[in-house]
Amino acid sequence: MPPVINTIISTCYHCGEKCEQDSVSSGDHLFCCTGCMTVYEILENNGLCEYYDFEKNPGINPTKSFDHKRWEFLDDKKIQKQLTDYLSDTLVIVSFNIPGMHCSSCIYLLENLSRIAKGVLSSEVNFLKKEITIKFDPREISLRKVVETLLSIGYSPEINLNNSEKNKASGQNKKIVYQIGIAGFCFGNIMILSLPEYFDFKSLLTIDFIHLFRYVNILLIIPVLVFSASDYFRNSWYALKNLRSNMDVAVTIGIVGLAVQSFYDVLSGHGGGFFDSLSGLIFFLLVGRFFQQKTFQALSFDRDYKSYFPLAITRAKGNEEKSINVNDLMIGDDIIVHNRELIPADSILEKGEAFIDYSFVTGESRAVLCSEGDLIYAGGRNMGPRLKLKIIKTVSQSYLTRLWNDKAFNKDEQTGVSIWANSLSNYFMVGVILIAAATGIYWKIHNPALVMRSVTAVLIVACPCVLALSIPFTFGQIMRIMGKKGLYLKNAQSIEKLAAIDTIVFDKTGTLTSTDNNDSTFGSSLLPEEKNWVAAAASQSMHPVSRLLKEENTNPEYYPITNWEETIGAGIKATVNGNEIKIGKKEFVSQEITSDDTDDNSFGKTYISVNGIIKTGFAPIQKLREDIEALAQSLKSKFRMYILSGDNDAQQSTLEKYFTKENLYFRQSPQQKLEFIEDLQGSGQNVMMIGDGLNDAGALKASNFGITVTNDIHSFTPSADAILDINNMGLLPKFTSLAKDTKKIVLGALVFSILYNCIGLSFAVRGNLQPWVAAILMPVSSISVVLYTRLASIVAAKRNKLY
Amino acid sequence: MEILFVLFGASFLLAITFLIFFLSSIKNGQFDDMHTPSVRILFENKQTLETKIENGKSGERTTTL
Repeated sequence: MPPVINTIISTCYHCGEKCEQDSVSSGDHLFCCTGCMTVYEILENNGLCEYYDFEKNPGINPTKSFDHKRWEFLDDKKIQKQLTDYLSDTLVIVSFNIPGMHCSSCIYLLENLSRIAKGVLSSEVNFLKKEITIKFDPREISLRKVVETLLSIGYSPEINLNNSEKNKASGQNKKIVYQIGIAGFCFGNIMILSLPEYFDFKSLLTIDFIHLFRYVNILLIIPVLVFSASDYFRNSWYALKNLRSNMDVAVTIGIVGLAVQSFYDVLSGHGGGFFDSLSGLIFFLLVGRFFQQKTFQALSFDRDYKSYFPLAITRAKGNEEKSINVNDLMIGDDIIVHNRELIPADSILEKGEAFIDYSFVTGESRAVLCSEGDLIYAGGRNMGPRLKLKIIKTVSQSYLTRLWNDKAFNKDEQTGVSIWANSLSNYFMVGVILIAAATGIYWKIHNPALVMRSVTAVLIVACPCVLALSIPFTFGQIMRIMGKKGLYLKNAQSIEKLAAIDTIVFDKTGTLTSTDNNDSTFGSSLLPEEKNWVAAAASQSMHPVSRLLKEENTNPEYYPITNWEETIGAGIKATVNGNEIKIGKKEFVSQEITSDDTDDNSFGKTYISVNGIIKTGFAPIQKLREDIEALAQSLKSKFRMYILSGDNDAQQSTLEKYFTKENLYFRQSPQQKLEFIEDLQGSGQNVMMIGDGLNDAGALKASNFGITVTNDIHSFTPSADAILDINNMGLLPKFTSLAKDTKKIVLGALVFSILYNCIGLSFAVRGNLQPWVAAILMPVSSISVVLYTRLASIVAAKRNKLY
Repeated sequence: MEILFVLFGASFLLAITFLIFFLSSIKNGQFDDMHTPSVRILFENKQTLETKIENGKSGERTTTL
């Protein structure tokens, strides 16, 4: 059926967006654009309209997810091999990340892909990982066709070099489930078999039973020690080898103390030992560790710069153009770079002129004009028609890659190890050893028979399990609270780093300025018709300002353009529909010099004239975020603040209102930003860097705490400690104060730990620790600490108005 | 009381069996994705319902014939 122009304001049946004047409809349903309607029609033709039953307006506007990439490279056998999980002549299995997946309708549609694309055998979605695994028959459908089908229904898959590097994290995740399973099984059975030891059932049972139960306990504890607790032994062994001490060392001492004492008790016939406490301890610790892993499983952070490079590029050889893997590029190759493609390696422009957008590299938002023979750096984006370039450096030796290979990126990080936990556990261990020594000396004098027993009892009961549990549970809870409010932390350690921050460095473009908020006042003083003329004239030019003007054109109509002329560095002149349009610098647009020209404000502004009359002058700069003042005010008292901008200083005067003048730095290259951060750190400051892109990557990584702000939490930049939803920038002061409160909660747990230890130690130092005391004390302390941390986190979040 | 030896052995074997089931279910990936299957079951239900109705209809026809 033909699309009908509709003027009633309504929401799109497919994506739920407001339908403007140019909406279209198909059947009974309204759509905001033809893209959405096309998706609807595909679904309708394939009998998949149930898609719309599960959720209201579940669709993704396909024009938004379409990013003008070219997909020929998917026909390349070598790339296919890298991307697929399994590849044969009759079956291909491939998995993609699809960030756009967001509701149950998405699952429905993606799992019914076989009904849209013939040749797809099956597709399976893992919603939490936002991953789809597709099996298809390569004789009927190509990989490229599969990807294009996904695109046509609005789900754009992420395809980059990282896809090809297999993910090993899931295997690690499974291991801990096995460990918990084994530990839980043994814990439960040991508890049952230990019951006769606690009560006076012994008289009912013959001595054979007692021995049987005790030896079965030994059998059961062996897999717990060998398999479930192995990570603790390994970690503490590494720590001791490097002459360091951490939480795992303290835990290991407790485990070994318990095990030795228990084996001795059973083998010498003294008693039943502490096997139940030992297995329970390991079980609870593993559960805590699992919880911690689970909390940040949803976010996979560690993506490297390669994700941002194109996977393939078109190489020209003679008359033949072929898509090849970027890693196969050789010095001297000729490549073709299409509009909006990234340049993969440093190269020389062979022909004509080019507008290159280096905002990825430098942060400068204006495109640079390059002419024949100019050097073009990797990371630039081609803003004009297709270019022919000659490669002069391989991908791995290019400028950007070298920056990313800076030592800051290779900083050795021990992930997941808590700094607080380690420092607390060090004090803890010193205390325990002192108490054990004092107990030993006391009994040496008074009753030498009790020395061994009391010393091991102290080591057993003073195990820092409460501490070991409180940190993962508190951090997990806080991370989830922050995640709900748009701050996604990389790992638990990030909270500690965040709490220690005393200096904040902001990037300007995209962080303090907002991209949806472009200062496009030019439209207001023009008649709608004039606006269209201007847009038509601008559409012929590649200049970024022209492109901005072109986008203002809401109603594309054809106007005859004559006498079109562009003066580089000045402006454009054209006759549109018989009207003379000039766009450009003031002196270009208007020959007369008026008194206004002495005004500094005219610098950097673009003027538009229609038939010789200046209609408007505007500066195509980005507006500062609206909440910037409140944000600066609330952070001022607690932090030193700096601004590092790769852009020019056009907004210096505005920024001075909120920030100290001396702390504003403009025209900073990525390397300078990195060095600046390192200088601050050199003077003993704990620096938080907030930036938005790759050009800050070095600085983000070098800083103590790097935050990437983004509109789309699924498109991460590398090397940050956290990702912040750009709309929640204003909550930053609250996040920092919550991180500081987290430290207090952990200290509170320490008080708990000391309390329980005092009770336990009062038995232990008297050489009187019964297995049942340990068996009650340990689980009770673990559970109460988990409850305490949960409550305390919620209270802290409420106090900071984040819950 | 000697019967306890038998009982103990039996219960222990049973427990071990469950443990093996549990471990094999982890290995088969039953715990990899805890969310999607809960949604998926709704779709499959609808589909099978449709086919059931169709089957039912055709069944009726055969009986009337």
